[in-house]
Amino acid sequence: MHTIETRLAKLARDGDRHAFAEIVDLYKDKIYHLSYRMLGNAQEAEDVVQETFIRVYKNIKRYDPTHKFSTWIYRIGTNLCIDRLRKRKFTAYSLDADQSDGEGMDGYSVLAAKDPLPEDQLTLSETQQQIREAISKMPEKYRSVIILRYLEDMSLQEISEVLDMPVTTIKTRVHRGREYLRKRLDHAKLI
Amino acid sequence: MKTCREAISLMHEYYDGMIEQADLKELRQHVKQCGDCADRFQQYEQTQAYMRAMPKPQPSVDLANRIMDALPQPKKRVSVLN
Repeated sequence: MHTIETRLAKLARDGDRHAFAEIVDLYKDKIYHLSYRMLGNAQEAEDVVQETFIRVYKNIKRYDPTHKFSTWIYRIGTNLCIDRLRKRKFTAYSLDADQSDGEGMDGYSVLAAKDPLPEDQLTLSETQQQIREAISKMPEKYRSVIILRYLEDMSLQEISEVLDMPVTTIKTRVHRGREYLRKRLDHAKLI
Repeated sequence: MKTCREAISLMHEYYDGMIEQADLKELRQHVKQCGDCADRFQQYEQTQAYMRAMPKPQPSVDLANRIMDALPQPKKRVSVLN
């Protein structure tokens, strides 16, 4: 694949820092948006963006140019967000809690993130606050696919490549996530 | 005539961007005749529209510079194991 990113990645691999700076410019807002929606916190989102680029920089030699660069960088960013969410969950719940890890609907209440999203500078409408709240309570495995699907507009195939999971799993998760959101939005109020 | 269960499954395929034309036709037909499914379809539609309209937050203006400053200094040769 000969996209501009692939060309820049090759230059960066050979030590061209200007090329790397261009990659940063192309992707920093995208990875920030992803991280912000995943974590609900501006400071943590910036930390993840920074960490993502450091990893990209250190591992640029491992990037396979036959694959899309965007898939690779999204994978690194998404995994960093998921790690952070898991660490939060680990501290939020006691170890003896009976946690189911299946795909079933029952897992929702157990897996839902406990901490509410902190306030930030964005002024949101009531509807947007409802959506934000719903995303923040959504279990991580649904949250990541829903964000990639709806906010980054990825196809199920692309999401499966980013998360390195079979399309069938992604499909199930997108469906459950979509249903989760539908149930939690007050549609009467939205109209 | 599809059952509601089949119709819901087709709604997901529709929003996954993977529905076949023939199935879409069947789904439309079902939704015309089933109020519950019509409501649900409408709710998925709204959910998607509102998700897509969420504002895009911007990072700090100096983030790019901070990223570049935080990068490890270039080495002549980087070990594969590093």
